[in-house]
Amino acid sequence: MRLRLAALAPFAPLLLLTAACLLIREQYPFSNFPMYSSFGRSTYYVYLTNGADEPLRSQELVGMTTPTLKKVYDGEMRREAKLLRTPRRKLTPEQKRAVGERLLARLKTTVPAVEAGAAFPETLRLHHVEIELIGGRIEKKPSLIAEVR
Amino acid sequence: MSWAPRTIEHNALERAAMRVLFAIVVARHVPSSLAHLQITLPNGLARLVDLHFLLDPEVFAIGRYLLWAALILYVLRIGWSIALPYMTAFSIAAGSVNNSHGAISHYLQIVSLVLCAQTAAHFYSLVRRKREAGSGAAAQREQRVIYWSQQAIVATYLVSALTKLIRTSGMWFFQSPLIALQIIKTNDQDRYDNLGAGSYESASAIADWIVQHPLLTGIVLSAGLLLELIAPIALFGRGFAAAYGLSLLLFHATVHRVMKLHFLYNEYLIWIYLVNVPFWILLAWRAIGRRRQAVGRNALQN
Repeated sequence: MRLRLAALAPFAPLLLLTAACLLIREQYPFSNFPMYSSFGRSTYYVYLTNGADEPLRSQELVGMTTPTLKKVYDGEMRREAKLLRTPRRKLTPEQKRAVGERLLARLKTTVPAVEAGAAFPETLRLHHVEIELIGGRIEKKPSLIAEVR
Repeated sequence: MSWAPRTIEHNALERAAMRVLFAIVVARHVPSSLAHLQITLPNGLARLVDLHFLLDPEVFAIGRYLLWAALILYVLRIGWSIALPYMTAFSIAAGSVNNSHGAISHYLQIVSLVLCAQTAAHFYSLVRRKREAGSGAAAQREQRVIYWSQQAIVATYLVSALTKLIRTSGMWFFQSPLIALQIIKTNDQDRYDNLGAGSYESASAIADWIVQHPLLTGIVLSAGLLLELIAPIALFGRGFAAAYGLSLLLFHATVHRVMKLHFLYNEYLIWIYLVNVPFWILLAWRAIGRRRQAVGRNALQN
């Protein structure tokens, strides 16, 4: 047994870091790297448009890429569901709109948005696209989540 | 090639190249400012320490100047007891702020983890200084820093593989064809990030093909999982490190092409610590030199 442990000694950093990442999970600099570790039969993303439904580059506008925007929205939705003690998928369109409006209001206070001043769109819309696998076909269902002026 | 893990003996030139290249990566992975971010959901170090002061562009600029000073010391191999902890702390602080605005990204952790490994290796060597004293002690200490860096890189891939198996109760193979939906999602997201630029028709075709061929897709994607799972093989010697590193680079290139996901810092660190191009250039250079000498000798004999 002692011999086996001695053989593992050169790997101590690997073993320690692996254990730390799996146990501590998402606390920087540690991570269990959960991206694409499991898959469901549906997923979604969100994006921004102006009042005329023209897509906007969120990175330039509010300093967040589209994937980051989705993660932030996702986190807000999870918090809302927890607060209301209801499963996320059962949130009503009104409840989702409230979350979306809060997010859009926050985006308008980001440094790039404030610096844009008058160039910032008067109306900001948050769109949701649900992607589902239905009967062996991939289908997209877009919907408007929220709008702020 | 030996089937036993062993520390690779890097010569002075390789070690110098690694220090310079890693210093460039560390300098690049820290953003020029964090002022565009808000700490709304503290993560990592931000949960323990109030890092709001880093959002001030002037304070952060001072932090970056100090980082450059530390990086110069690092490259010159002077004052590592101060330089390495500072580089690590600043990297972790910046990364924590970056992950504290309600969204967690995964492209910076590997750099911070390698810095943690290097700092730990350096201080471990200091503790063992008396026991390891001798003519090659300094080189041996740096060997340890490199070997632990390789282990940190390997750990990130091993963790990624284990998480896939844990979260799917070992059923990742059967779930993996559903990646088709993720391909559509990531490509659409990329399209909204780069309005007007890029081509996305192939992604849709790939996603459709995956849906129609789940078994084949499961086999192909499980090869990727297997690649991550066998990451410790990179610690078995130069040949293994280079071959495994190149396989990982191919894996990343495929992920980038199909899913528009780019793990740039992972790739940089793989090039530096696993593929280690300077060694292979030196090896080729010496082989060419020997061949020329042999040809010269043959010509003289004839």
